[in-house]
Amino acid sequence: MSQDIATIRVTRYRPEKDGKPFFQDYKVPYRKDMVVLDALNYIKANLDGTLTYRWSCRMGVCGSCGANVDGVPKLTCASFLHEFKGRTIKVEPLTHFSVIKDLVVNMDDFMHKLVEIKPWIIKEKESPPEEGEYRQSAEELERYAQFSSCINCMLCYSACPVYGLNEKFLGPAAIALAYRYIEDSRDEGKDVRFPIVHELEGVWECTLVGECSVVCPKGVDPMLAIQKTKILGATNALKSLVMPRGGK
Amino acid sequence: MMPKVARLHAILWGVFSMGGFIAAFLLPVLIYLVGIAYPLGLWPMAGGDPTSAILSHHHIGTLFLFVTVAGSLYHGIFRFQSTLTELGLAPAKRALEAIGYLIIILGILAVAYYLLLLNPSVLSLP
Repeated sequence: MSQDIATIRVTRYRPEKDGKPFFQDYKVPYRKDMVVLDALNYIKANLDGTLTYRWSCRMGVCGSCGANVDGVPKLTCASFLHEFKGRTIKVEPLTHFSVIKDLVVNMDDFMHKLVEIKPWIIKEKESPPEEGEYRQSAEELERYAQFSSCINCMLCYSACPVYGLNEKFLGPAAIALAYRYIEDSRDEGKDVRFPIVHELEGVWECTLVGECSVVCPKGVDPMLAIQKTKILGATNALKSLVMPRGGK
Repeated sequence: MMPKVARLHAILWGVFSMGGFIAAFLLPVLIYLVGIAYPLGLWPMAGGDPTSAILSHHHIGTLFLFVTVAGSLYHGIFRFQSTLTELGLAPAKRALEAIGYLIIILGILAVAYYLLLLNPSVLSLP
């Protein structure tokens, strides 16, 4: 199989040594089936063992290898090198996150938000296992199925200008996941999640830019989840205005 | 239960959303009638422009014009707020929002005033 040479321009930043991030170029031979993550692995194995980045599954499932490839948030395991033929491929850490080292960003804020929305099924009263599973029809599953495909890669946060301006914003993935449970017919945790997603820095901060849905590698549409959550909130607020005792 | 401030925001967003609906569906109709059909002579009713025709027929016509213009204006200010956020104008946002809201309120009052002038009978509604 024929090989070409790709120039990979990677952001380097070692806080203990460097005052600020800088770019470093590497020449990587590649075949048609190689992706940016393969190039990073080649650099690490053959050219510079100090290069630091996250990765795991190499098949778009774990969500660890997100980076800005040529200025766009992408999974490096899903970005083929031949698509950038003839150009220097710039690989930078995801924007809107602080950098720990090279391409590794600090995920603490996102992980905190993820837990905050309680991404699990909440039941008012758990039924014992011998009573069987909580059943659900195909139509009920369809209502939230796409939102359960999120792999927490944080590309949507990197693409979201609102999160970039206000890190208190709950953000696309966390809201999409909250909506996934709000729409789940087995879940009874609406009263717990509503105050979280309907905080001013929850759905109301979103200005409908829509880049979150554009960059999602799993076809999740967080913008739709945010809009639907807004509609639920507005309907609820109107109900509570008209029926102060009955509405929630 | 939603936080109180968020509940108010949710209601305002609902109005904004309806304003968007109005702007998208009713405003093009109005623009066509007043801005295209009438000047090009495509308006079928002799002896009156579309606005007068709408107003003279029913109170619902007055309401149509008010909702179309006021809804579009309100939608505009809400979207203007979003644009300010996206532009990162946080320090000046409050002042600009206040100016924007003042303009919109004056606009809505002006629309109401002119519609009342054109169709004073709307006040005598049962």
